[in-house]
Amino acid sequence: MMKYQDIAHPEDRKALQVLQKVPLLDEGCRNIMEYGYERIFRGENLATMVKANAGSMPVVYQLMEATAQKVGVPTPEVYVYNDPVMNAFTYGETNTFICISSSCIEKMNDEELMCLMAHECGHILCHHVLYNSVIAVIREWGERIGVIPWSLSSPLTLALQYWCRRSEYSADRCAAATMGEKVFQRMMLKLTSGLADIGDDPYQLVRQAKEYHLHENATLWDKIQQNCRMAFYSHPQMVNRAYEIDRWKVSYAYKKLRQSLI
Amino acid sequence: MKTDMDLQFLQYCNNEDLRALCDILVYDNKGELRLSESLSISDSYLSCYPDNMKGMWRDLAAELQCYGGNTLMNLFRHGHGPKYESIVYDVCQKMGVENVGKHDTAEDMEQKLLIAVSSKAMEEMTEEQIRAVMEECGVKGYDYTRTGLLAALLTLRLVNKRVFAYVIEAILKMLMEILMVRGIIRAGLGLLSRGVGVLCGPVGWIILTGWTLWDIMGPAYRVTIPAVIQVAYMRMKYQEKLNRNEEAA
Repeated sequence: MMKYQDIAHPEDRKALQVLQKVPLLDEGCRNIMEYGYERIFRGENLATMVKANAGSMPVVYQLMEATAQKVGVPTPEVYVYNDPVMNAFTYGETNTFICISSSCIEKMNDEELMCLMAHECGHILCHHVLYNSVIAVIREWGERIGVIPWSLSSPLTLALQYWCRRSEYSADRCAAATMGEKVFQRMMLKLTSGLADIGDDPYQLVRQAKEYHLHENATLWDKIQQNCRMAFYSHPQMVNRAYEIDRWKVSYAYKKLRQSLI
Repeated sequence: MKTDMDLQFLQYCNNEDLRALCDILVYDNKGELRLSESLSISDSYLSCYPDNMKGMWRDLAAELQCYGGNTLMNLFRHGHGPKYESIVYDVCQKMGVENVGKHDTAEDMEQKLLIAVSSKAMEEMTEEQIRAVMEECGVKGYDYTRTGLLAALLTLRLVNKRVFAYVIEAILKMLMEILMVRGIIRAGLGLLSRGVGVLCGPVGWIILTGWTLWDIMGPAYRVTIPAVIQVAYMRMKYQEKLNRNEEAA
């Protein structure tokens, strides 16, 4: 069974350490989620998506059960929604669920699908959703309702967005540790290309990341441009995600986790 | 890493001691990641920690140097920190170690620092414990009292470095036990995911888990003080090994 500390990216861990020290933040967000958003979204899922269970889409359900067991989190509800874009997301702290787009089910094999599920389970294990809801609240109160002035809410949002990108690395580590880094790279390649057939070389994104880093660091101007673009992203670039796991695969933590999970 | 002759010896230290130094630089006394550390995301950390620490000695030295300098000043030094010598000097000043001059060698300053740490530790020890340390280390010709042990330390530092090393090590171990009994050292060391790594260097062990005798957790020095004491302890061991080899040859 995995522990949050085993997979957390250092920068994600540091941000969580800081967030956990804010008094009542945990409890407040958890309550807002449990009685508010979780129930709203569950209703929406039940109304607009297909729920996987032993009778409907049993394979997806079984894969979810196996993945959750490997990661060591309670099995979340799984929903499949109609979308040609390959994507998945999770929500919930008390009653968790994972939604997977139909194209993922169609184009990924069982291993890759489990890897995708493990990524979402990683978010659950690290309690990312809880703190992600802070971003949502700040943005909501800042941008839309105007309770928090824009001058205050925007730097906060950018800082939390930075953490959000780091939290993806932790979830990626969870996926790679659960299913192996090669499966992870295959999954990433499929997610990036949107293709079912990606050939035999899963490390294209890692090589591309090196090329991207050369481009990014070519001049100060390039660096500023790329970083400004990235500042508003909720997820790191796909090549960087592939690259980070390629770096992490040599670590003691990865090897130890793989040994314990095989 | 900015070339620093005083830190070159790190490449010859054992894995456990380097790991303890690394843990001091990466984790605070609660086992949480230090917000300003940059080691844990480095390639060398990923590939070397915790079994091949010699492979990252340069990064450890560079990180220690960075902690020892003002962040803004480090920017003007192209991201490098000051020389280790000036870090030890600052630490000695902060800890009120007497007779330390700016032109002393780093090793000299470290030894004075270790003696100061030990004499502070002695205040925590009973007469029986002092006697036990002195007997175990074969210190003869001195009273079995705090003053006697301190006098022996000061003399042995110059006369017999091996005995000096044994005495320092014994005192630090004894202090560790006292702190543990009093509950000052937390039993939850296992909370650190790398677990026993922290248990290895006695000095790192004490300091990482909450040194309460001194105010060493002030904002500017909460890393450099324990790190310098650990480096001092490692150098002492290294020197002792060198001397032993020379004698054998």
